[in-house]
Amino acid sequence: MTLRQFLRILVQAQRAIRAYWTNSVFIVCAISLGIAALTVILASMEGASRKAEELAAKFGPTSINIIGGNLVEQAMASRPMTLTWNDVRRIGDCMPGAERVSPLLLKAAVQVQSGGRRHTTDSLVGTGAEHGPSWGWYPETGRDFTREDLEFARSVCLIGAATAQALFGSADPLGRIVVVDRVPLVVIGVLTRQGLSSGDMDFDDRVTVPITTMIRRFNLSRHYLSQVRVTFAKSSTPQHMAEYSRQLRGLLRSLHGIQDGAADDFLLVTMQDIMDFVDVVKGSIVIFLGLVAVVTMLTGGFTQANLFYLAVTDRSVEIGLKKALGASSQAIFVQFLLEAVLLACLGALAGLAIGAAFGALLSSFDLLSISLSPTVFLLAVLMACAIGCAFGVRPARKAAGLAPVSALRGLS
Amino acid sequence: MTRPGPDAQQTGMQLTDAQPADRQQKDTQLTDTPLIDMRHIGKTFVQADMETRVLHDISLRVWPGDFLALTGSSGSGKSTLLYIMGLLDQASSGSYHLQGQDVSTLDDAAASAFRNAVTGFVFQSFFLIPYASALDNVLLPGVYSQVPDRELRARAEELLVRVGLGDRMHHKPNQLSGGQQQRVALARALLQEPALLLADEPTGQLDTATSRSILELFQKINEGGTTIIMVTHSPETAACARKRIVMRDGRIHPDIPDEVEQPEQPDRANGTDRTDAAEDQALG
Repeated sequence: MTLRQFLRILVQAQRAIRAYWTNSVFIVCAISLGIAALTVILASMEGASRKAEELAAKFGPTSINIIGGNLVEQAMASRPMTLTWNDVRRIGDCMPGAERVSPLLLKAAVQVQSGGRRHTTDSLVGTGAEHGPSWGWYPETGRDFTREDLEFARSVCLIGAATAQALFGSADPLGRIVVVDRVPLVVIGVLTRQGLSSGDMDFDDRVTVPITTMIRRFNLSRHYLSQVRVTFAKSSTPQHMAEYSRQLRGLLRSLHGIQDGAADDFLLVTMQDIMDFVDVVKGSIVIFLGLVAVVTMLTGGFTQANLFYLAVTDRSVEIGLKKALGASSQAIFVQFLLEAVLLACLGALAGLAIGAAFGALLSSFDLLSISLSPTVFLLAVLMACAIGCAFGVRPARKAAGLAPVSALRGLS
Repeated sequence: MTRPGPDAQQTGMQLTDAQPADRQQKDTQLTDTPLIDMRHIGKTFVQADMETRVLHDISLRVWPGDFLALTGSSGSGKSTLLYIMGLLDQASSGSYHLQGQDVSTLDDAAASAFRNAVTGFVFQSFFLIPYASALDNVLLPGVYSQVPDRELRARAEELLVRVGLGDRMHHKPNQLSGGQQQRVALARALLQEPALLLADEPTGQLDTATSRSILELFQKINEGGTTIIMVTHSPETAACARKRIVMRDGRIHPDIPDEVEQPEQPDRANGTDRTDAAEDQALG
């Protein structure tokens, strides 16, 4: 078949699609649903990757968080206090690359009130001086904790953006008094919005105080800590971080007197751990949504195949006529396959539109982060072409195999 | 009149010769090479282990420029013979030469190329593509040819003017009368300038006046040198042809008109006799 004949057959296919538009609409709808599911999956995967990168950037690529307790106990929703002030001092002394070692104490679900408003924050947090550089989380307005705040256990606090909204609405919280467990605190800053959560805990709904204030005014342990964050030089490479993590684990096991073979009583979290976790979550989403997409696309494909089979029967006279006028079986095959592929491509475009709209809807409910890219577009179209070919081949072969005389008599 | 072919001369077989006398001496080359040369053509349909013979040992020559009517009652095998002539069907036995080439066992691609370049078809039911304009219907055979688009379009427009539809080129089939639809079908059949025009009951769905005008077109086309073979069961339609062959029970009837001699009758012992119902069933 020459290019000229191919192009003429392409025009014939396009005319047939328009002429049998009801069939075409059904096929496009069937395929578009599968492609829409695929679009949501691909776009959400890209969105998740982007979110993971943002999360990692917020966490800090050269920091390690140490959380008290081990994985098994974490799974049982228990976080025993195993980290001590001694750990903080020894890490600062012994870890060569450590620039900052920041302790943290945490108390969940605390009543806060200001003026007439009451609010239960997700957490009351005590940290060291210089909250911004230590945790990579700076006040958006106001100031950070100073060494004096810490030394004199001043009754000052930084509040999260969600807490500020709950207590003060659109009013400026700076200099206002909030009462936490009957302890009055002056708001000296509002933290930048993170948009992160861990379980039911919203990172932006918190009151942060100097850790000395937390110990003295809120009667928390003087010896144990909830978390310690170790920040290394910014120039540290992932290889350096892996080595620091190994050294830190060895030091803590030694400090805690853990025997060889026994489990850690702490958990080290690095940026790489977060990325690995996101990958696992992404994998689960891919499997679930992937199955949905495969089933939907197969359904679309079978619908297409069925409608094309019916079309071959309906159009047998046309097929017989074309054969009588000089169309070879190959020409008939190519026309029907082109119709299938063209319809699949139309289905892909419709599917992309539906997928993008559905994705935007999910994004607006914060259910999924969607990111459409040329890769998503290309993959959707390629997948649709594959469906068109795979499910169009048999009906096209049937059309091509019709005997001209039988076809002219309307028999298939 | 009978023309013994090379084989026939050796075997003593007689052929049904459809060349009219006034055309025999027109062109030495043409008269030496028949357009259609069929020898011992048989056609058997097999369905559910039952053989039905619809054509029995047909031997026939058609010469360039002829206008032949294949007549006979419904189910006599005339349409089957026409489809074999037009390479839409293959004979079960015998040999078939078209334009001097053996076309008995052509593969699909070669047979399609022959149909596109050498034959044109006109059917009783017109078979126009309903969603295409008259012009696009006429252009349809061109899809499968190598003729440039511009030339095809010029030919199609000229043909539509010739059949009297110059002002209906962009009308859809449902906007045309039966006679006009058949004219479109006729123009379509002529697009590739075929040597052989095959018509299956071309006036079967038309009234008398329209039939007459269509047959006049056929005669004009034939006068232009195109060979026409027309299947009809109507004696009035057949009368327009230069020659007539009557078929009965899958054979050329012995009681044939003056110009044609009766071919040899085959042995009927090997196949069942066909009936109208049997042919319909077998084709189905």
